[in-house]
Amino acid sequence: MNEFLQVASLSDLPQGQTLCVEIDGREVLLCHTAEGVYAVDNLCSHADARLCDGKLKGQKILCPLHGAAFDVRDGSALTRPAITPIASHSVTVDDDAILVALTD
Amino acid sequence: MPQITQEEDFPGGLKARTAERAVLDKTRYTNPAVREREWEKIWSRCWLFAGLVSDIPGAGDYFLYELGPESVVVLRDEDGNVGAFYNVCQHRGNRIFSGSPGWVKQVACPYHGWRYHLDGSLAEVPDADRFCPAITAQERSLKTVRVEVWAGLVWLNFDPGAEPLADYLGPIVSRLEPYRFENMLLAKHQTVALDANWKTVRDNFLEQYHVDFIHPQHAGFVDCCNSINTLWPMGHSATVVEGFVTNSRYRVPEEVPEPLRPFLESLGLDPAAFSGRVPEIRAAVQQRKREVGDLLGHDYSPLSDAQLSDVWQYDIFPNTFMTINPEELWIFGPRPHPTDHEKCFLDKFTLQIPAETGCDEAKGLSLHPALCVSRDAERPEHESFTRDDVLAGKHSLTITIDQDIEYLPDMQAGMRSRGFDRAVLNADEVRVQHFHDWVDAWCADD
Repeated sequence: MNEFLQVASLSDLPQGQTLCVEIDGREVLLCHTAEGVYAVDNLCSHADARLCDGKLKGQKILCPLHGAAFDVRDGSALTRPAITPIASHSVTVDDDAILVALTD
Repeated sequence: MPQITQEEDFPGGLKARTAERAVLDKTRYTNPAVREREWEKIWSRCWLFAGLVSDIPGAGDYFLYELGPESVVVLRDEDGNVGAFYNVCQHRGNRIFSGSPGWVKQVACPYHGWRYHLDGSLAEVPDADRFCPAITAQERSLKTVRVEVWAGLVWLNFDPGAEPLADYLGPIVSRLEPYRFENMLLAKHQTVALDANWKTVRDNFLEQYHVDFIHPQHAGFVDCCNSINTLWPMGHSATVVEGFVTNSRYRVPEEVPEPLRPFLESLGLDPAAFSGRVPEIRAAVQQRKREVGDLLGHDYSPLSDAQLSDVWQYDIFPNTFMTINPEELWIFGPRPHPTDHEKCFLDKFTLQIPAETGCDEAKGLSLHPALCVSRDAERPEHESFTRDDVLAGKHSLTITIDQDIEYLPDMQAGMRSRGFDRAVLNADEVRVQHFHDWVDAWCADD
């Protein structure tokens, strides 16, 4: 696994919100749900759409283009038209710092 | 005392009764040809409960309503309007939406990328210049379905010329409004696939003759012997079952029956105090609910005493039936299978008053022992399962409904037998008769 890098501050990411950050040229979406902060790839696995333009509903991120839902906790595709999962990345929160380690 | 049945005609003279009697020939449940007739005459013309407006609070929020061969999307646009559209791209007919409830920023068909605005109008066609003649929004916008919202409930009608929902429901509107369903929250959303015709399911919920036999636990908290039935035009009906009483067929027990205890305790009433006074429970609960409602901030004032204690069941033709307690509403609807007359999908929506005004843990009070949903809770997942899952204990629609579900496919299988021709009904099954009289009336040639 890659090393944890600080990518954002918790104070910039209220619960229920998402934030798109770039790590090594890769867009990663931080999602602050009632269960905690999660990180998944920002690109939908179905078509060319950025999930940061979508909507966080509970533990799901909904794609703005066709409404496909992914579980932000593990990146699994929950509804058609998406069938392939998106990558999910490890997150730790240290005080106000959100740190992410990319999965390859 | 036997059950009482009254008839209420609609203003304008439409009669509740359509026939003096009808024989329920088994073919209505088993003959596939009946399915097409019902599709054309009933499902294509009646108002149908489709879902909850609380599932589409913001622009782009949608839910799907699947009925027989059709899929309808109910979608809120940027102006806050609720629209209903056939879930069909006007390019080549692909289903656009999947997954429900859901959200989209803009409607986009996953097949060839045609896009529509949230109000259903055509927005963008990829390579539009390759079409000749040119595609127009007028011809190729999403096809609409009639939609109305009442009491937080979304109703659809496939008939563009159908009368308004309020005319279809008649006096039921004003009778149900005091319950304020629009303030209730979704606690459970379940669908069970059943090997039974949709009317086999309807019949079960239209009579209480079976209650003593498959729901023996009911003897300790309701009295179906004294129910009052009301018949309306269109095929609607209702029944009122006295609650917080015991079945008048049997000797009155000395002690409070087990099923009633949690209801008393949650209201702060001691079951031991009613030893030898079981018939006094109903009035005590009516009074106590008003007191506790005031304490917790829940307003019971629109409801009568009888509405506080009794179970009111309303049946809205063709397939919506509601079991109403003032704190909890169950809405059921069997939807026909797309191709098989002897299968259906039974939906159950469980709605409750918010825990914020229904319960107070510190005071140890609750207006109903099952209340569990707070206003900021996430929407519960839609559970879909089979009768086998229910029998295996993996899913439950509450013990009573599980007991019904166990029997329904057996009814269907038995009616299919060469050893059975037609059903015979008694006076307490009058609402079954009424429902089928109206099935026949709707299906008759114009």
